[in-house]
Parts: sequence; C-alpha cells; structure tokens
Amino acid sequence: MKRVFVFAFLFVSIAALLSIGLPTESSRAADGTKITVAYSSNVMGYTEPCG
Amino acid sequence: METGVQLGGLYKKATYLEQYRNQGLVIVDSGDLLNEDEEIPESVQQSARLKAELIVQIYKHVGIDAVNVGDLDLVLGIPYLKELEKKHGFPFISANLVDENGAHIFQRYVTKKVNDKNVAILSVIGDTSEMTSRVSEITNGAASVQDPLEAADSILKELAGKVDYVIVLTHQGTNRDWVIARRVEGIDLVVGGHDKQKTADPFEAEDTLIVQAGEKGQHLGILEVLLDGSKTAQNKLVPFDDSIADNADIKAMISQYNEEIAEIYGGGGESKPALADVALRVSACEPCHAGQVKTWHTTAHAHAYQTLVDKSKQFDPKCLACHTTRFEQPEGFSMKQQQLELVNVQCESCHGFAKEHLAEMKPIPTPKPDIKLCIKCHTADRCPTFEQDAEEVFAKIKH
Repeated sequence: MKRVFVFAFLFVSIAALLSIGLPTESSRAADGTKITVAYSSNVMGYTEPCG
Repeated sequence: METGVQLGGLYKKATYLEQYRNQGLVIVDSGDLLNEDEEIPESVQQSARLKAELIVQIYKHVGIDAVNVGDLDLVLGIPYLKELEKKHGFPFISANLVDENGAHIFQRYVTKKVNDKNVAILSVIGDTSEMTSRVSEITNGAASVQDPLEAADSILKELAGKVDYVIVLTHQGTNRDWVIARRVEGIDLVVGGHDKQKTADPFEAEDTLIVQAGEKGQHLGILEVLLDGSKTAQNKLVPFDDSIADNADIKAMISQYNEEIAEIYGGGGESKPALADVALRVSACEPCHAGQVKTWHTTAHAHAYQTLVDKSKQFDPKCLACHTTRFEQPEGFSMKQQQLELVNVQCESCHGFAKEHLAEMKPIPTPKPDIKLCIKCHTADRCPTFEQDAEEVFAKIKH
C-alpha cells in the first residue's frame, strides 16, 4: 500500500512539474533561441597566405 | 604604407569557431570555394585537384553544413565535384543548376536542427546572361542555370511552416541579392558571393539581411541571431590575423599538401642546382642594363621566390604566379619545368617577353609598365594602400 502511495506521489509530482515547466527546461529553451551562422565567400582555393 | 599584411589561413577558422560550438553553430560557404582560375592549365590540373580536395577535407573537419557551387568551382569539372561530394560526404548544394535533362545536379537544399530550431539552407547561382553563358561554356553544356527566384520560391513553399530560419547562399553579386531578398518571401539571411564584398554591417532588405565575407578566406563572417520572435542579429567580419592561433590538425593537412605537390613538381628527389648557383634570366639583360639590374637585386622582387621557399610554398601555383617570371606563359616559368632561372619577379615580369629584344634588338614590349600590371599581384587585399602609395612604392624600385 505504502509502495503504491509513493509511486502515485512521484507520478503526481512529475506531472505537476511538467505542467509548470522545469527550470532546466526553461534555460535550455532560452539557449535554443540563438543560432550562430559562420559564413565564408569567394575563398577561391586559398588555404593560407603565400609569404 | 600597409604592405606585407596578409590575412588568411584556414587553420585559424577552426580555432576561431571553437568558441561557438555550443551556440547553435551553422557553417556555410557561398561558392567559388575551391578554385580561382577561369581556365586551369593542364600542367596545374593535378595540384588544383589536390588543393580542392584539401579544402574539402578541411571544411569537413571544421563541420561545414552547406556549400554553394560557384562558377569557378565548376571549372574543376562536375564529375570531379561529384567525386568529392561522394568520397567526403561534402554538402554541395544548388537549387538551380541542372543537367541536360533538367535534373538537379546537386542537392537543392539542406536542413539542420540547431538546438530547438530548424534551419534551412538553400543556394542559387545567378542567371545573368554573362553567368549563364559562362556556366554553359565552362561545363561544355553539361549544366545550365534556372531562374534563381523561382528555384528559391519553390523550395520555400515546400518548407513553409517547417523551418524557423532560412539561409540562402547566392553566387550572383550584391545587386541581385537585393532582388532575391525582396522578391522571394520567407528568406531571413542571404549570404552572397561572386562580387567579393565585405559587409561588416549587413544590408537590410526589409526583414532579410544580406552579408558577404570578402575573398580568399581572409575573413570569416559571424552572424549571431536570436530566434525569439525578434530575430535580433549581430554581425561581424573576423580578420584572420596573428591574434588567432593556428589549428595544428589543419596546419598538418596543409603541410602534407605542400609535401605532395613538392613530390609531384619538385622532381621527386632529383638533385637540382642550388638557387644561388643558377644564372637568372636577368643576366641576359645585364650587359646593356647593368645599373638597372644592380638596383633590381636590392629590391623585394629579387627575393620573391625565397619567401616561398621559407614557407615551403615554392610548389604552390597560387603563390608561384606572383613570385616567378611569366608564370605559365610561353617560355615563362612553368609548373612542369620549374626553371630556377625564371624564379623571382625579373625584368620580363613587368617589361614583357624580351626574346626578340635580345635576339634582334627589337623594342621591349612594355618599356614603362602601367600600375594596372602591378596590381595584378599587389592586389587591394594584399597591399591595401598600394595605389594610394604608388609614388613611394615606385621609388623603391626606381631603375
């Protein structure tokens, strides 16, 4: 009986946390809003300066 | 006068990008990545292909996501580009390059999930009459160019509602970039190419930004965008100078290339006389122009080849073109022959081929060379103030 109660408590707790949004989820979402585009153009076969 | 400041080095790109690895990094290139020349002489084909493969390997090592195919890339041949694509899983894309049957030659676009966001990258090449005829000529009719606006629009309709950010890599020049940015709905960023512009401050075509990162891998563009609804962006062009450390892995890859071309063009260990023991071509001019030749020996032109030797670049055609005399011209320095008597920037580099002048005392082709000849090598990217400081520069070689 006690075991059932513990599982039920855990289930309700997790559901409650998911519904309000975990703090870790929020910070991941914040990081996920940024992208960095690194771009190059007209490299034309140059790997390094000649001299 | 600002000379000798040479930016670049793909090994710096890898180092610089490390700081962005966990920041939703997307790496792209707008084309003309692998080659500079409209024609590749047969003698340079092998090194040009090795160089192209080296760059492909370096870009893969760095984590490239998409590369547009430029007209100068096509000079290497579509079969070779497809070979590189297959061998290295290289992400060439083009939405409007098609074969004789109208089928797309490369992938039309790629998508990448970055953090929680879907980024689409597509690419087009320009359809001016100049570009379309050039593509047809370069590929012997194996490729043609479709309307870039229709090609981009068609992909964006397919992707509608599925992506959070759209990057279009173009190879057509900035004027045309404004057209595609304004006329095709849904583009967030145009990364341009072909006209070698440097845009530290992006152009803003309503909601679309237009950028380009100069040429010869001297700068890397970095655009940081917040996809929080505002699409706030910060852009910078990073010069690859000595403040950025060289990545050892990429440095080693380039060194290996230098060794390979030395093996191919350097005679495979065949003994050659020391450069100091070789009578340079200039000695033919000396009997009548002793004073001028004496002055020449004191100039940087007389030591141009040694600067390549010091960096193990003396077999790289990209470098030899400006550090030898009449590179790949009739009876000039050639990759196959590697004539030491024709190294350095000797009299004929500026005054023209002197064969008839020497044999029959006919006038030298170019007694007073124009500065236009000088800036073929002393380009704005290598010597930013060359034209401005012309008087001071010419004083150094006055003879």
